[in-house]
Amino acid sequence: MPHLSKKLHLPLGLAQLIMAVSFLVYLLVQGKVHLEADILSLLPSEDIEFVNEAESAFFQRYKNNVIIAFSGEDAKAAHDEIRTNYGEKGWLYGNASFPELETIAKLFGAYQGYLLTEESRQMLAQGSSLGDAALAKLNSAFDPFSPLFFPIDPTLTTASFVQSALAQQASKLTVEAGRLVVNDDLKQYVLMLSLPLADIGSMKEATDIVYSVRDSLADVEAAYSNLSISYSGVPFHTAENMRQADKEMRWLGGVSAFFIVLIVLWSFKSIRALLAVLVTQLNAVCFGLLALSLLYDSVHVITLVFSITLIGIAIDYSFHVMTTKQDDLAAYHNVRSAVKLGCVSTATGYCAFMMLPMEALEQVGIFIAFGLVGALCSALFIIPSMLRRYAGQSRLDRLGEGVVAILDASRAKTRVTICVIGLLSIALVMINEQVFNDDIALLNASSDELRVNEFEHQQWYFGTQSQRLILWETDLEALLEKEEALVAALKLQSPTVTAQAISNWLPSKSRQQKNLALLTEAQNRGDFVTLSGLMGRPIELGTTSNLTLETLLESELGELLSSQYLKLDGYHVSLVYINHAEKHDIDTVLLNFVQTARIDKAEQLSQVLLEMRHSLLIWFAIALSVFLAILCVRFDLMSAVKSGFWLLLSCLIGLSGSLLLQGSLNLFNLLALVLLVALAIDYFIFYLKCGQESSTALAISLSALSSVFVFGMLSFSQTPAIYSFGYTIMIGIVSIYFVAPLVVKRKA
Amino acid sequence: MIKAVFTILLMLCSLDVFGQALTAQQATNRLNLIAPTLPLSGSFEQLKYFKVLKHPLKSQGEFEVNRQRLIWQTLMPVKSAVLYENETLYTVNSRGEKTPTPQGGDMSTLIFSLLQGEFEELEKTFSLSPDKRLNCILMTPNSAPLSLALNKVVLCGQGAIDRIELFDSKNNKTAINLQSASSK
Repeated sequence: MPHLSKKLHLPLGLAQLIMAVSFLVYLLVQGKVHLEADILSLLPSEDIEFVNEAESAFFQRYKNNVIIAFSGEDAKAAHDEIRTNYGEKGWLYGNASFPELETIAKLFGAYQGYLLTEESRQMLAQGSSLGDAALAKLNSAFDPFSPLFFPIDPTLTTASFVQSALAQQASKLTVEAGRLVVNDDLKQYVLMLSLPLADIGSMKEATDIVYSVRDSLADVEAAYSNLSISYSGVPFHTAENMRQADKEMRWLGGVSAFFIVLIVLWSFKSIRALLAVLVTQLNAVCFGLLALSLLYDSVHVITLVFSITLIGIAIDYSFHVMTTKQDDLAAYHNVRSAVKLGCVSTATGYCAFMMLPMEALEQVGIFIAFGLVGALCSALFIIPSMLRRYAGQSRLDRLGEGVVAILDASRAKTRVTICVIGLLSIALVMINEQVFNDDIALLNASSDELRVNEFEHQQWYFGTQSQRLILWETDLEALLEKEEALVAALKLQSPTVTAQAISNWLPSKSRQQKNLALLTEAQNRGDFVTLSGLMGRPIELGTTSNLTLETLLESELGELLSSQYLKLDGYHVSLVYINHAEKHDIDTVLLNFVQTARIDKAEQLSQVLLEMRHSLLIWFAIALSVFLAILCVRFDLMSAVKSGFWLLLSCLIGLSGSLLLQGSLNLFNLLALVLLVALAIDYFIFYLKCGQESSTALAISLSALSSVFVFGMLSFSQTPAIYSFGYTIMIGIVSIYFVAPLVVKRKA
Repeated sequence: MIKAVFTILLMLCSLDVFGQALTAQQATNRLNLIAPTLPLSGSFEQLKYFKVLKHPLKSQGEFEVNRQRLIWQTLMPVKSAVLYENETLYTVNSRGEKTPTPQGGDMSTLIFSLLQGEFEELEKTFSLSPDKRLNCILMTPNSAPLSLALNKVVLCGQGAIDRIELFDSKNNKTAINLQSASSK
């Protein structure tokens, strides 16, 4: 490496900082940094990617919708008041009306002969007559279909077809005098609003709108004596989580930032030192973001969440350089080479993320590896110049000596205590039946009330055991045939299964042709002689061509059909709701069908967490091997083995402590290990390179304290994902801090 | 002249009476209904009028109402039945095969209530008013799904329901005469 004059360090350091910041600002202003927020896009499967896209397309129109339900004696009045208020704003979603049965009769009646129920088809296939069934239906006092269909289709087969399709489509919602009603014990009046959140740029503004709706509902609830209001919908969840995150960021972030500033000011008694720490952080983040922006088209939000660990690692470099005397050339040289070695080994460890199948984790590796280079540049070039005339070195020495004395005195106790806790941790993990729980529900910060409402309201719309399937084919006919075959296969497993599918309304062309052939045969057998006698005219079948999708999409049923059918990337895609079928049975049947998927957001998100957890465990193994190999080459085998042992034990203690506090572990506990390992690598390298010097011990103490304040404070969060991270860091850091000096001999 | 004015006034008063809403109790009183003892069984004769047919379709059969079970069985001209048991409504074809009707709970409640003249239950889904016939009550559905199927229903009888008239959305009339087993 060519030798750089010390005079050039500061100008070079500042120049690279200014260039990095300017370039990043340019990229941000130009909108070249795209954030990807869909967590499901992390799953490494093309099919899931397509299903995810299709699901978004189907549910895009509902994503800003909320459901409000009113019950109690004043429910109707309160419903009307809210409906008027939001009607004036244009926020009401859809009309509370059903398509006229007469219109449906005219629409489908025109295709008599082509449309048969499964039951009718079976009867005809067995050679049974449909004439008696038609007469029975005609005579039924309580059948609303026969008067409408009989003049158009005297066989009433079309009436049965429509009746069957409507029965599958039925939900708990009915309409009374223009109001959507659920006639349960409480009699709930239901309103659906579409909040104008699509064009709003900031999340804060969107959250404020949702909370204004919540407040207006609370006001109405308070104004009526006998009224209860429940509400649900994605915007409420998002707003609740946003408010929670905002609140926590303010006080947790505020408190930890305050303590960091306090630590730096108390230990260094210098504003310049504080500035030096901030410059290092800024440079590190700029380098990381620049690398991501230049290497990737879009950056996943989860990458940024993981990348927060950079702050904890980068601050270490500042502390090490700042606590070492620049005029003690040997010590200063040792620290500089330890910082470089720490950077190389940590960056190499993070580069192991690139071997994992998830792009988000690859991005984390890139971000931190480049971020560390930024921190290193700042630590080597900017900080020394900023603190050249620093006068408080003797105070730092005293502090360092004090820390060394405490660590020295507690070496034996630490060794025994950590080993005992380690053994207890192993026992705890062994006796725990479910160590890991990847259920996404555990990570949801929404209130219980909102979750209960969501569950109940979804049942009104989709039934109690509704499962959603997405099917896709390049050809519409193939898609309809697949739907028919799938529903038939499910009914073979359980006859009570019902399905809401487009093929309920639009049978495949081949099925329509078969239906016509069966009915014509029945007519030729004389099945409908009585009926044609009643009408005084012969019954005509198949006078038009078969029913088509275009006809249905242009009809009054168009909205219903388009809510379950779309064209995407050259595919015809349909959404099918299955009721009264077990997930397991559906999955078994789906094994026999290609280009089909059962969609369950919660299950898929849990799957993402599971995949990421597995990836992190693989990373952990690789990173540990890389780290030990570097220690082995740079120092000796014994040091590597000792460091590896204490590191593993501390990780285990961090995890088992979290397990004890949380009941089970999740992805975010493992994420905390990423930071823990990175910090531990630095701690071990600095001790091995510099020995138990006062400056090293002090820098590591400050680093551990700042990590506890920045990340340990997260344990106080209400959000499970965040406090899981906090617990592991807090416990792990304390353990690492005490065991790290054990890899070197006591100071003479 | 005075007689003509008096007649018009009387007619207007009568119209007012016909349009007046009735409570369940008033409707029950008007028909002097006595709560039937269960099981209630009997026979029925039904005439179903279609505008496209010159003659009404005539059918007859039997019914039986119990606390948790109902059977409405057509015997002529084609055997078929509507059966409610185990909280499920079934249609039964001429071969005796039962098919469950999804969401059939509301329909069975309606049939139960019509046969027994339970106006308190009917009042939840119908607006009640007096019919021009003294021993009949006119009922108009007040919910959309029901009004798609029924335009109006008339219940007639004295002491017990003996005639039900159903008018569908096309105003086709179905007249059902009931004869309970006890009054046979």
